[in-house]
Amino acid sequence: MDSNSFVNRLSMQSGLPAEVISGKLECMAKVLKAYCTNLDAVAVPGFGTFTPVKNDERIVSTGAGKRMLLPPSIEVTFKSSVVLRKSLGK
Amino acid sequence: MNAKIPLKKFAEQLGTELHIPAAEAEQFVKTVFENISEELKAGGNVSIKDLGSFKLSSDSEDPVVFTPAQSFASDLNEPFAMFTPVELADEVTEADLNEIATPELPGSEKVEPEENAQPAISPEPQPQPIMEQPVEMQQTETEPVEAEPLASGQEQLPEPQQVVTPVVVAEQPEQEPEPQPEPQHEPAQPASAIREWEYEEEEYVTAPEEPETKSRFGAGFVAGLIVGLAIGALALCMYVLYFVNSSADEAPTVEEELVETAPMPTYQ
Repeated sequence: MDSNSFVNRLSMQSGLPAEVISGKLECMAKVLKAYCTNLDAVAVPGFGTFTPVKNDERIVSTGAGKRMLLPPSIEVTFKSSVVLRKSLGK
Repeated sequence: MNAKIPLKKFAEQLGTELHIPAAEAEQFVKTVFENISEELKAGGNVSIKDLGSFKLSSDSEDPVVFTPAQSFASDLNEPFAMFTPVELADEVTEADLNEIATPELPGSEKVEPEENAQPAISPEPQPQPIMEQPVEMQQTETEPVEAEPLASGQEQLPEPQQVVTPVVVAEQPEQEPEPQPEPQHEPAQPASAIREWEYEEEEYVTAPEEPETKSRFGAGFVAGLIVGLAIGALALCMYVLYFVNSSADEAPTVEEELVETAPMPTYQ
């Protein structure tokens, strides 16, 4: 399901225009981004936890035998909750 | 930082951003993730603009994989956008990188190479005396000003401050020879230059004692001369008293000679 289909689905459920739903989703992503930038994890009960992980500067060997010095970065990992895993049958 | 944000707090923040009640924002968030869960249960994937995509995986421990959107990841790593991956040479190791990174924090090693480089140049004291010389130059500038009114007479009297400066003029000959001993001590401790500078001033203040030694020599010479003259006078007196008296004792007086030579009166 792409973003537009998902927005339309929410719009039909809530009765709000798609533009409003799209704006709310954009704002929700902005708030989640702000928390992850501060390295704060966001927990959603029954779904999972978004956990930002900061990777320090590191050296990585490429397949060609070259070594690259990678800059620090922040990655967001998602850990599904037990409820979601059980509902998925895993 | 490193805190776990509950859904209520997240919803409150979202409500603040959207200017809607926190309960409405919380209900919206729950609706969004419930729809994502339903889609995942149906075996599909969900992609949300500016957030990312949720996909199913075969991993039993983590069946849902979240992939952040490109804009989400770039905004998240905006503080590190200035850094780019760099290809390293074979000789460079992680230890070398740590050594390069650590000296930047203390900043002490940056100063040491400068100190080590200065002794090789040898004229180290020059930059530091330059800091002191401007003050001395200001003092030297006062000298000709002082000398001019003195030489020209009383034509320029309206500068009473210049009359006070003669004390500075006396200090200048002391400051000029100072740079010679400083180069030996300063290379290691440039901060103590002022102390050494003051200490050398005291040495040169004592230097005028040399004329005092000359005066002492002159006084001693005069004292020795006086004592010598006194001894000589005493010796002369002793000589005169001794030899003159002894010669006087030996030599008969005129009266004695007359008595001796006079014929004895005879009484008939």
